[in-house]
Amino acid sequence: MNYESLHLNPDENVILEVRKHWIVFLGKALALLFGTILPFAIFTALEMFIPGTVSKIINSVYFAGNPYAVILFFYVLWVLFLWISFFIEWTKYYLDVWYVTEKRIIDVNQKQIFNREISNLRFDKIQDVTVDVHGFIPTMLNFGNIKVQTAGEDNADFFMANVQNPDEVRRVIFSQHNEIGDAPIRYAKKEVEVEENQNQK
Amino acid sequence: MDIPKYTPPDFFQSINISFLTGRMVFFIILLVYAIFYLMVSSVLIYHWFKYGMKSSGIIVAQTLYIFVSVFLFAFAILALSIY
Repeated sequence: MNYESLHLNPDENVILEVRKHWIVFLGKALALLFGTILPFAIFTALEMFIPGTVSKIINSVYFAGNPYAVILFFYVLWVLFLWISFFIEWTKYYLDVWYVTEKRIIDVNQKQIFNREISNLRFDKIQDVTVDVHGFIPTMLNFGNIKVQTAGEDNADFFMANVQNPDEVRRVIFSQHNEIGDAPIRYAKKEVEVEENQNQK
Repeated sequence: MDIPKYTPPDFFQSINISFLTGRMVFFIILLVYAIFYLMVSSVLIYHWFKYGMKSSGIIVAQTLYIFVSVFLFAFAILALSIY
């Protein structure tokens, strides 16, 4: 993985990537898949309710060659359109992510293809992390909403819906938050140790 | 009891669009479609390269996308070649 575009500090590494659960994308994927069989469904329905319509339409239009080749050609163009739509939706899903480093959370919000928002939240600004897993399917598939509350009135909270494995995300955020919080204490302890060693000498 | 079947009217017979059904016309349609497809694909691939962090998911997606797109375009050309 190459995190150059995040512009991390030299001593900073990404320890967790947080994305929405795949089920969020599944609905759109199924809709696009249904689109591929839609022409067949329409033709079948037409033949069922108005028999002979499809062949009548095909035979009534003059084609220099095989009319079924033309139908196949336009069907392939339709499938190409659905294919590119599928990947546009997937790109919006995949690039909407939280990067949790040792020092901060980087919230990349890919709203649309040409609409991207990036926010940073340092761990020392975090007040609370709330996880909400509500419903039978989210409980079974282990996904839910996660909200990171920040200190201060002006700072907006970080929120991501339908995150996969939200408890693990909360555990990592809290452990890093505690690590940052304990850092002054560890530094002070180290200073005391150094002083004691000097006194002993 | 026999239910009478609906038969659509014959107004289709009066439409002559033979100038639109030549193979060259369909190739032009395919060419214009391919240009728009390339434009949108370049936007997608740019996003994957710049923001994808070279993750395995992005690499798989790129490979799948390009291969299937090329296959479908080849299929479209094949359909026109048997026209």
